[in-house]
Amino acid sequence: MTKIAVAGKGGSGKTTVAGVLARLWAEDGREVLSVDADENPNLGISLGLGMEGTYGLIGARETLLLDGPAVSSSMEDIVDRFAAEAGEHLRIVQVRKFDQFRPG
Amino acid sequence: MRVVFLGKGGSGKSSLAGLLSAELTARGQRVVAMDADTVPGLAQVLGVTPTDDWFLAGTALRDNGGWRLDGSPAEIVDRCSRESPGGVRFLQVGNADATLKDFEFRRESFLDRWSGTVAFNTVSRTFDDEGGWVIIDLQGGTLQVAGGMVGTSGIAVVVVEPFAKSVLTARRFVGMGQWPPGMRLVGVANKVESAADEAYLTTELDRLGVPIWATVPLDPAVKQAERRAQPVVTLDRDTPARRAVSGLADRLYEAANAEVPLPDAASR
Amino acid sequence: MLAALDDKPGRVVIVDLGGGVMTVARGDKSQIDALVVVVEPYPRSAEVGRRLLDMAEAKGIPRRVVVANKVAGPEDLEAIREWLGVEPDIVLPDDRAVSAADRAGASPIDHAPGSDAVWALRPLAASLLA
Repeated sequence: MTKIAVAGKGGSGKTTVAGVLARLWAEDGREVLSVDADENPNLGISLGLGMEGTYGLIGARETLLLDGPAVSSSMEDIVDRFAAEAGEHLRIVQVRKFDQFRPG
Repeated sequence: MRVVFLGKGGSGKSSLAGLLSAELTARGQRVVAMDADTVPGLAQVLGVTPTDDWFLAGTALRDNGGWRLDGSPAEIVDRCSRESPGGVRFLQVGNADATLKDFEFRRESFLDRWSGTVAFNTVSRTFDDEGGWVIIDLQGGTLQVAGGMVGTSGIAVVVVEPFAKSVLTARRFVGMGQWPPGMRLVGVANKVESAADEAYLTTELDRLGVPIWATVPLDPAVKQAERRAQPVVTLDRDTPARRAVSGLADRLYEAANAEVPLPDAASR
Repeated sequence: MLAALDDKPGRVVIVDLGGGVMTVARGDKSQIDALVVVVEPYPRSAEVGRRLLDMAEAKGIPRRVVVANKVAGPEDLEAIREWLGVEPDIVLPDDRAVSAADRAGASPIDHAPGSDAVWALRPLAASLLA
């Protein structure tokens, strides 16, 4: 299993690069899990989900903090629960979406 | 009057915050500008030499499991700010780079920097210079906004480029929940290249209920200045971007219930 | 999280770490096989890139790849070389087709699959899995 991370200054094009790479691998038949660790997640747009599709994705962390994981959840279970299909062989999971005011 | 700049990373917050600071100074106003990003950005725009320090390190003290400021916000600003060539008093939260490999591990320096971050967060939220202007440049994205860094009074300026990701970010700000009653959310359309760009942003921001207080065109002079690491504030006030920011300053003046001064007010 | 995932052979996990340096600065990054650092031809962008490369090396990420993005000409490339102190591995041109995709909220691979930028990423996709 290969684990790649993409980083850069905001606006540099890193999310676009990440999204296109993910799509290229998926189109080549590889199983791809794309992880959006940005607290303002936009990777869905670069994967081709569009603005509405991306806006509607849920953030794993917030839901887990509120509901808690099921007792016997493995990381794969958690990913399965939160990942959305973004195409053949391609899933996306948003780790932490900060889109609500939180006190403190 | 507090003016806070927010937006997606790379949307142009630092450039606009710097240009606004320069415009206000040119009008004879007193300006304190603060950069909440741990990689220097606003410093370069203003022509302040970025340094290694966490400006406010040590200015917050541990107190019964919490923190308290070592002085009033105004005293801390007096003590820790640096003046830009244009007369803007400047504060930065700090500087995170690889020399900070002790970022997590060496206790005293970590606490020092953490105290600086705590102090910065408090000062940027609460410092309001009577009769002067406080310009805050937040980190790109939603993290600091969600954490309440915009504060409770003033104008929040969301900078939006004509791209879906930038608009989506603006949507998130608007949908964040109950904004403090003392904060007003307005928009600036930035790096606009065409009538189609302007129409797109007008439609989207209209839909979000965010009034556009300035439309800043994609300005080759600004691009070139940034490309050469030349402080953007040294650009001629005649360039398209600066003229648009002058318009923003006019709107902000109205909001502050001040008379709109002539651009050469500094000579009075 | 990466450490806790099942090691499924053939799977690729790609993580968008978000803007800035803090996500790389914090925590254990030993699970990452390669960090792709994207840099534009502006000093502030290169500054972040430089710091990311230094942090990645300090954290023991075995492979660091530099992508120079929105490069409009040889001066841009030269500037990035100078600011970063390394030769970029991949150069993506300043591509109107990509900005059109960005405006439309689409992925360049759907909106402009034949564009120069998308084509320039193909060798990177292959190389990262080699």
